[in-house]
Amino acid sequence: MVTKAKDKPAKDKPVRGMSVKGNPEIWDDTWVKSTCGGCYGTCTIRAHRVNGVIIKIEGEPDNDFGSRGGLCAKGEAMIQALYDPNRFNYPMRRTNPKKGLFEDPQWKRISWDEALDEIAGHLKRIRAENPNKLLHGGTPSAGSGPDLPLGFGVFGAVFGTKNWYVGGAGLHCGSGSHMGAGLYHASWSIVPDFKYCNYVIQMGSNKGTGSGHSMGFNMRLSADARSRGMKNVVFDPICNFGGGKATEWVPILPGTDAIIALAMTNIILNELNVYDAEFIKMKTNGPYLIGPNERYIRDKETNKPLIWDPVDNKAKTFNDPTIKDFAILGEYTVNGVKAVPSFQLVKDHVKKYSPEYAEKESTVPAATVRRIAKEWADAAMIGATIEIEGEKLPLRPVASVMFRGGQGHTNSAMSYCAMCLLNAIVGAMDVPGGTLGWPAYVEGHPDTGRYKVIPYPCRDGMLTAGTFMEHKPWPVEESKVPDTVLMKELVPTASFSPHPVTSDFQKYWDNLGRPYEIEMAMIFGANMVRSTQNREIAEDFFKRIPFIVSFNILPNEFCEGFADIMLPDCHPLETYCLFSSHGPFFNYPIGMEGWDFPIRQPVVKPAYERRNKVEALWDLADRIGMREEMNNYYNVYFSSFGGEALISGDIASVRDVKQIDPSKITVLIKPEEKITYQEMMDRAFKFYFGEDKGLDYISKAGTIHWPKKAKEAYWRWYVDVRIPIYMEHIAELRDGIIENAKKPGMELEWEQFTPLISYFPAQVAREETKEFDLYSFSYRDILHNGTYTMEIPWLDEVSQLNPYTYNITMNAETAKKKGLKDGDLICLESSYGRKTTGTLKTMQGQHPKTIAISACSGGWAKGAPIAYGKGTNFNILLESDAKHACPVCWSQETATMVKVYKIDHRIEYDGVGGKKL
Amino acid sequence: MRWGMAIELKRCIGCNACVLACKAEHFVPPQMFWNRVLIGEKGKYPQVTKLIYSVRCNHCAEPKCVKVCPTGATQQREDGIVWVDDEKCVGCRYCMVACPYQMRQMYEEEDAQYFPGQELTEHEKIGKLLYPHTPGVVQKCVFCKERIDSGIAQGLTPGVDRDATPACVIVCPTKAIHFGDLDDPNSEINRVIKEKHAHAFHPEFDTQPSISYID
Ligand code: SF4
Ligand code: SF4
Ligand code: SF4
Repeated sequence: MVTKAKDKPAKDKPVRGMSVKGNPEIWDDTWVKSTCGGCYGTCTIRAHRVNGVIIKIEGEPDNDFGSRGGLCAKGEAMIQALYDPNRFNYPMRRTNPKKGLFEDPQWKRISWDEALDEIAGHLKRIRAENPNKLLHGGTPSAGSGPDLPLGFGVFGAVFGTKNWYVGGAGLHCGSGSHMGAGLYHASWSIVPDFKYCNYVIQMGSNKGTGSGHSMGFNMRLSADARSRGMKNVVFDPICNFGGGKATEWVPILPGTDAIIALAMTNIILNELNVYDAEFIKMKTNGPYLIGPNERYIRDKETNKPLIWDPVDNKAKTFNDPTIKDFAILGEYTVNGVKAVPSFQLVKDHVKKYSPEYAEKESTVPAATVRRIAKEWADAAMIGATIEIEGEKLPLRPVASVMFRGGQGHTNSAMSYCAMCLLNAIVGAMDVPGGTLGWPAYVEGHPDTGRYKVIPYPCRDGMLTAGTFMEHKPWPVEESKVPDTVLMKELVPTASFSPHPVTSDFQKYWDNLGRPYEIEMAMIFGANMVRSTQNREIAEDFFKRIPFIVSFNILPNEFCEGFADIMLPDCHPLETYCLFSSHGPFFNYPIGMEGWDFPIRQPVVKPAYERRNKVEALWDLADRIGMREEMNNYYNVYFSSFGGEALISGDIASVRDVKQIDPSKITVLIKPEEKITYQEMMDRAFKFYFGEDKGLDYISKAGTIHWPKKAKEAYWRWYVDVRIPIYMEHIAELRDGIIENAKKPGMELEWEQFTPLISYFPAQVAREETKEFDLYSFSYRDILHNGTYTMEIPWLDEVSQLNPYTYNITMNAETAKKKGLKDGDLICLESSYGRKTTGTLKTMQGQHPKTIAISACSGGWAKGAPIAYGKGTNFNILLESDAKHACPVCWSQETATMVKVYKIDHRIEYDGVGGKKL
Repeated sequence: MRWGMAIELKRCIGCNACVLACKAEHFVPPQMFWNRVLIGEKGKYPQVTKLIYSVRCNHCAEPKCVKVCPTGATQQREDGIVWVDDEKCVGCRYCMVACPYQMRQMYEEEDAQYFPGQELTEHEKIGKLLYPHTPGVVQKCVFCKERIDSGIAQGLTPGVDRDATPACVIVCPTKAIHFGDLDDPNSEINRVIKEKHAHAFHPEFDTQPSISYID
């Protein structure tokens, strides 16, 4: 849908569904269905275009992919992001040869041809020499559209670089939660089943109150749940977004969530003696026998893990059809060694997590932990069932969930898994009322059976996601001596890596003999120096890269400081995008909410010379002779939703598409064809949903909608898969990792490579001293997402009205003790000498040992004047190195100890050439 | 007929969509707000509750603003909607002082821009045609009277049909705001008010607001 030329004037025609006071001539009054690009949520919207201008955005009332007619403020504000006069309109070249945080790029407009020719020149040379010299990535950042896999993922994979740097390694994301949700739910993240859940425990998470994931339907469903009386216990250091909607807010020290989950597990298993034995026997590796070496005891012949059948009184392979029962408790002798079901080990192991120990670490009173554990176990209604659409299903109306806040620490993986363990012992996983992964089981559209994703068991019976876009732990890859700058091959369980943007990366790379240097970076969206780790560490890395290309809609701190060529991207309201609708494992409505495959399409034509970035990548592919390979890759990609996941793991790391049986690949794009993005979408839609459901159809309908079956919504008992409550794979990996870490010389906290889910104090806690006595952290504000929302005037206005958004908050009593009061300009200084400043606002609803900054504010880009100087950049305070990353999933430590004092000016703006603050 | 709102506080998450929907609907100028989200807290650590109130003109049954307006610019319609006639308003600000809820704002700066010092955006330009604002007069929430009127003219029901319902109501992602006819004993809003014990914000102001809140 694009703006048509002037139709015949129709004066006095009212504008549909809009207040009009003037009497303008109306020649275009059109509603276009699309999806919002305000955050990852991609809610379905209808945008109102009058005389070629978007005047209003509403939520789409007719499907479940969003809030059913509502929208959040970010979505509403997308109009102003679209029309921001500061946007990039043409390709730009940096003429200032100097690069650095505060350098002025001195942009000079160039033509697309000049830009692409130059970029292609570099790419061609690099591809011939060593493709790994190209670092590519960014984040699927809101504001610029999430065409991450289809564009950059495929481009990089085909190009041949393994250096795919995405996200902030847990900083604004969840490395531990993506790993854990993949392991336990075959999904990217989790949500309580708000429809049936009666008791939710949230740990550092903002489901329905701020988090950008699944935002639209979460806002709607969580409100329904609160309104009907669902209990919502929120463990959080601050009572703002998540805590603010709690029925009980429990203040907690950052980084200690795991010990709460483990203490609750202990009480439930060892004091209350309550658990869902059926679930543990059938759906977990709880019955698998563990030998003295911490590993599964395997059948000598088949190599399958063994369980103990207490009826026949002998060991059998885990899927032996003659099994009469599974022992989950006790001790046996098998193959001449002591054999203990892993559930027994887990049950014994958690005994050390007494509520008193939990209180000591977290400050949550032991009595509170005990009470909540008891309430939760009671509310789980173990044994209860419910009938939904004729299917009898277990009803477990309790859910414990965690996201970035709870697991943004050096104990990330263990924290998240501890929280999952709590769900597992009561069987509240992907059953009505429990914790649901984003839908991981899709049988496909009724007409075609396509767009199909079915989880399946690995050789050991463990849950494996049915889509290549999910973390796929089985079989666990072996640890290797790193050969990428991400170094992730060392620890195969890592989700996102903070390397190479760390202060110790160069040391490791030196030790590895510097296999190659990064000579070029291609970054899309993202703000690599403001929304990721400490900006000086980032500066040090990016400054060394000779040639950087960035695609973005708007100038930001990264583009200004480091990009050599800027390519003007389309705003989500002026472009097509396929990926935003692509992936049930990501962001799809949960429970019995219907299936939807919504379209993102332009409401207005891209103005100036802005271009769909994927088409620009194809132009580059043409110039370097890579288009045919990309076409082939797309065929594999789309075919992977045709019934069988043909490729596995994260898309950019998949390089072996040539080995796939060609008979399984449907050719949607012939190798030599040069099609447009629309054409690709059209073919994908037809392939998934039938010849009559091409782009024309879906452009008008807005979405392909079909009902979900109970079996799909609550798939857990329909698929013969198990989950690891005992993480044997981590034990399997440990020795290899220790060995392979020697060459780069990386020291990790090896104790964390234990199969038993455990509590390890976070690095932040280890840095507490008398002087650096406050835990500082940042948290999600519902008004903002990444850094670009700070540049939107409407969001800026309401942020200024909010007492917390742009201020630094701390507990009123603590402030008083330190002689500080509301309105003081204060400096936060970390024990590493990093400093950031801002205005103090005291609260009652904040843990007295903490100080907090919301969102990712504190902009200094000159090309983003609305954001300039607003709020405080928290990330400046963070360290980024191996010591400050979770050894298992590589999430960064997102909290740091600081001291706080009054200051007379904003020192972090000292080097900035713009307006003094 | 008397239009009213009931806002469920348990649902509201303070997302400010209601504020921006109103801004979009009426091209409300920079730094002007016809509605707001008030954020606060009550209690003492650790027993704390966050407070979130989406507020706008209460379209009171006993409006103090109407009483003090010397020109008759601020007036109340039969359906309870209180509004300001730009033509008659002389900008004396009596109403601003009289409104105990402080829901009125003077629109002074005609040239205010959302991107100060830069060109007006296409969106701002079309706003000046679709919903022009007169400088020097007092502004406030009009309960989306244009939507209600054109909706009713098309046979739609405010509070039920989207196109006849205020913009801030239909945008709310948590469905926190109910809208309907307070005079109709069978209306959905009256059912909600009764069942969920809705109460006025600051009843001591004694103006009989048409907006109530549900704890
Ligand atoms: S939740 Fe995200 S996708 Fe949904 S309206 Fe808000 S910004 Fe847009
Ligand atoms: S839109 Fe709804 S949820 Fe958001 S602040 Fe307004 S009333 Fe509250
Ligand atoms: S009722 Fe209409 S005018 Fe009043 S605050 Fe809501 S959107 Fe604005």
